[in-house]
Amino acid sequence: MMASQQTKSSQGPKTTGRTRTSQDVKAPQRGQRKGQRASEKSGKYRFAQNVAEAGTAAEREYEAYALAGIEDPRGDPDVLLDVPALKVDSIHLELDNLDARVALRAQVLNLVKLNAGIDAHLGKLRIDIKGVEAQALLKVRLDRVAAIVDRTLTTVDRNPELVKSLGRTIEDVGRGTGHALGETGEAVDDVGEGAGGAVQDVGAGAGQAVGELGEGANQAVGQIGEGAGQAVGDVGQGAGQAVGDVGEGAGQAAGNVGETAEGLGQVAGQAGQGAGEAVSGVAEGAGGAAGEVEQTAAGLLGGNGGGGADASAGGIAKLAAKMVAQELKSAATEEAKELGLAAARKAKEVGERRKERKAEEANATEAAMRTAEELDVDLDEVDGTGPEGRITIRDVREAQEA
Amino acid sequence: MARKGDPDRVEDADVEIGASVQAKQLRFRQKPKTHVELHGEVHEPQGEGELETASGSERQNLPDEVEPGITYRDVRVRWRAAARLKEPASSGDTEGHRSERSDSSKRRSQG
Repeated sequence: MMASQQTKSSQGPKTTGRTRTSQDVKAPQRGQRKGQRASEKSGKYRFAQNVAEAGTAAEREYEAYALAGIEDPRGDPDVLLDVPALKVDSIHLELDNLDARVALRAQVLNLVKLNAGIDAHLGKLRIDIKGVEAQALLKVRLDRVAAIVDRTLTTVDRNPELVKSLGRTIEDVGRGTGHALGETGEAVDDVGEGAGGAVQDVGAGAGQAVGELGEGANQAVGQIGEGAGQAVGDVGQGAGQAVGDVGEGAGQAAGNVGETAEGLGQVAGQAGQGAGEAVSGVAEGAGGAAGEVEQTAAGLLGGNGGGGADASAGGIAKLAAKMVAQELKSAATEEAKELGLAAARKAKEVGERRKERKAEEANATEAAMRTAEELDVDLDEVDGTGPEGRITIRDVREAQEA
Repeated sequence: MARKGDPDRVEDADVEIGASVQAKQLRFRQKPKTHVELHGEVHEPQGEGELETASGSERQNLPDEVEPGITYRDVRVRWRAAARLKEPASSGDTEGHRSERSDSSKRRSQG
């Protein structure tokens, strides 16, 4: 609890001319002010000419002013700055930024906050003044503040449970606990989010794995198809080659027969040529047959014949593998999505529970918590005015404006 | 005697500043700038409090708005600013189960 008074000037008063002052700054008992009154001075030093038994007019006015509260049942003020008489014959006064402040502040933990203050500011002042009599008075009374504090302590005495929210130490501990719980909550939140992310990743991984499996299967089946096609082609080629070899052997044999008969005359030569042509025709027929075998093999596998045999078989296998992989991938992705959504829901629930706990710890409504976050207001600095001191949105906004 | 504001509106003040001046001659070389601000809050477990304030002056032979260069004679001015903590209506009840509310008031007057 304190009462303060402050008077300052960035540039003190400048006086010129003849001055004669009499001032008294003290905390006197009423009616016992010491110092010589203007009316008590000799005529030489007395500015006021209207001195009577009751003093000068200014003195009488001041008495009426200063003693106005003498019948006040509250009694004398606790702080009194009394300037009963300031007399100046002639003065030129220059003032720059004169501030006079009196403030009364009292605080009992977070239960009571009292503040009453007066700030008086005088900017530039340039005056010529003659025949001045001035008085000033400053009073501060603390009895009402004392009564409020006393009442508050009585309240605490009758409601000791209030104490748990009072002490600064307890508050600090509570704040630390709140932080710890907040961090725990955040950790849980993070775990929840992590779980959600992990499950989402698992889902994605599963989908990707299935996709890769599908592609692998697709590729494997394609390779099988290619192998099958190649095998079938090889079969065709082998068959053709074998038949070709047969033809070549037959042709060679027939050639040898023709060469043997070469010396035997033109007929024999023509016969040998005819035999060679016949053998050659056989060889060509064998090659054609082998080609037809190859085409047939390809046709059995659904191809379009010839070199397309291996491509057709591989294409079917690839297509089937792709379809299977696509189905697997789609199913896995759906499952992963479901898992991810469930995890996200769980994480959200955990986060909401954490926020609720935070709101309970801060003794604030959830709306007030949100508002405090939006306005960047520290709830520890906000005084709650709701039921049982609960912090409301209005409290947060008022704290932000303060 | 002219009054600007009501300096005596608040009786039984908790804080107050007052001054009275009388002068035979008073001349302003330039128009003065003054500013008075009363501020405060009453925050109690019993409820909302208020701050009752008053600020004003009584003048004789001096207008509310003075003019530079003019000599005013036989001038009297009494100025007072005061503030009083106004307790919550429920302040007599000390059960302490009422909600806490704060009130801050700030009043200004230009003089």
